Amino acid sequence: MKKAILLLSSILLLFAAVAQAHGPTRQKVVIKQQIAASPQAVWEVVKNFNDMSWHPAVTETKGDGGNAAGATRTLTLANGGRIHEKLEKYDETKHTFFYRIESVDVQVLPVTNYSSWFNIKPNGEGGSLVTWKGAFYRGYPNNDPPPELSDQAARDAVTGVYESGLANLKKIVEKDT
Amino acid sequence: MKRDTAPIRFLMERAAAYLVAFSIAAAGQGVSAAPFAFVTNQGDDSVSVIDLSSLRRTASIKVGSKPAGIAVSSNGRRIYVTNPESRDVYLLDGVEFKALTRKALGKGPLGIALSPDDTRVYVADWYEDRVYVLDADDLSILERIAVGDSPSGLEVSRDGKRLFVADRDDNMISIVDTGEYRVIRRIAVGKRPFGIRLDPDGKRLYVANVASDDLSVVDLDSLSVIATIAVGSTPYGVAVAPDSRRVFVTNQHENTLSVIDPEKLEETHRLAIGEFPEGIIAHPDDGRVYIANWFDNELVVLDVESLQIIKQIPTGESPRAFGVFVAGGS
Repeated sequence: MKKAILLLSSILLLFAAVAQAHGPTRQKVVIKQQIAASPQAVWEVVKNFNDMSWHPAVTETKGDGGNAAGATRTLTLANGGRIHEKLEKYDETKHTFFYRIESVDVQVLPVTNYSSWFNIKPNGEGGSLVTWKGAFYRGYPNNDPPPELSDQAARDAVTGVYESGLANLKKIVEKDT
Repeated sequence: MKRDTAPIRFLMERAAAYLVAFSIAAAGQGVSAAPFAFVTNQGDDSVSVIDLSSLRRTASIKVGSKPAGIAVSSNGRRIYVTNPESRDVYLLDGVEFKALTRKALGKGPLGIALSPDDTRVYVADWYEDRVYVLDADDLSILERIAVGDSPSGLEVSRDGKRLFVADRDDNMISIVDTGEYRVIRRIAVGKRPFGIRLDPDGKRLYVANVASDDLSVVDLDSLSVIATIAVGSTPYGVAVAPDSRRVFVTNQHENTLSVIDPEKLEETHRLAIGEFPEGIIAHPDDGRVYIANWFDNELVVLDVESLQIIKQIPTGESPRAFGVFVAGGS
């Protein structure tokens, strides 16, 4: 029993260490989307941190703390994977927020130390320019990552999340207006 | 015999450096002793050369893969770059802006610093948890020094006898005796120390702690942390004004710059500076601080006194500029 507890705690310790460690090269992804609706109309759909139902990959959002800095949410994905996120900054007037992933299994999303900004601006033609960007490290903190945990895999995964999310957001907002 | 000629050679080199400086001044390019900033662009495998008189990018030098760390010799003629992905160090010509030598090194070379006499290069290996000591002329390996977990920022004392290493994943600063090539002392700092900088007179070491959002101030006489100053979110790099009256910290996730009063040991200003500020340095005599914004792909030029942004200069993709990227900077 004692052995089992020791083993468990060392696994937990290892996990904590892995969660902090990362490689030497940070990655970035920026995806922009034009939407034929006002920034306010787009904002109405995305503004609640504890509701990410506008993203097609998210089946459930459980949130705590509303839209205040420090609020947390857990996203459940269609494949059952979970992502735990924390809101760091929220600005209603600028239609922007900034959040981080607190923890995620790299099998679900192959990234570590992930932070992200979501921002909506007028596009000058009556519509909106939505920008979603992320900064993160690959899922494998050591050298010579397996292909599924490489820099490229991390960028591809985040790009997929942003593109599918923004395409769906465009569909939702443009249908509403 | 070799020892006897060393001071003469040193003097001749200095004289040559002054001649170069004067001829540059005569050519109308300004009288600054450090006319260029060298910015590593991790996203496009290059170093941007920024002319600090015209405040324009004048050249781009191809280096290895995912360059991050940088060190510039005191006369500005030699530039050293770490490439963690191609696992090598480049020596660049700081006058002709071209690569001179490449040296394969370790598993993840990142932090880099020069000895004050410019004869040795220290390179921290992120994965091997050690510091390599290289000959600054040919990049041959002189020694390997075991340090703590994930060593990142490096600084060398003004007398060259001590090397300071931020052991990021140990929450420690290792102090290395550069004569004996071993760690002689470790000092606990905040969480995940990354960028470090000595003040110009070498009496203090400032340590940016990424995960505890603070700055540790280490007094190098007593070898103790005399203050821990709260700054913005995820502090990454530190710079100290040449007169030591201001300390600057880049707060990566907050897109801000903390300005610290080193006498009162408190933050006096927090400025919006651009997205993901990282590498930072104070110029030795032009009254400016230079900041690489990783997300915005630009070098911000800030006036030390007025704290006004003078210019944003485009760089390559994802600039890091981790180290002393202006000759004689602090």
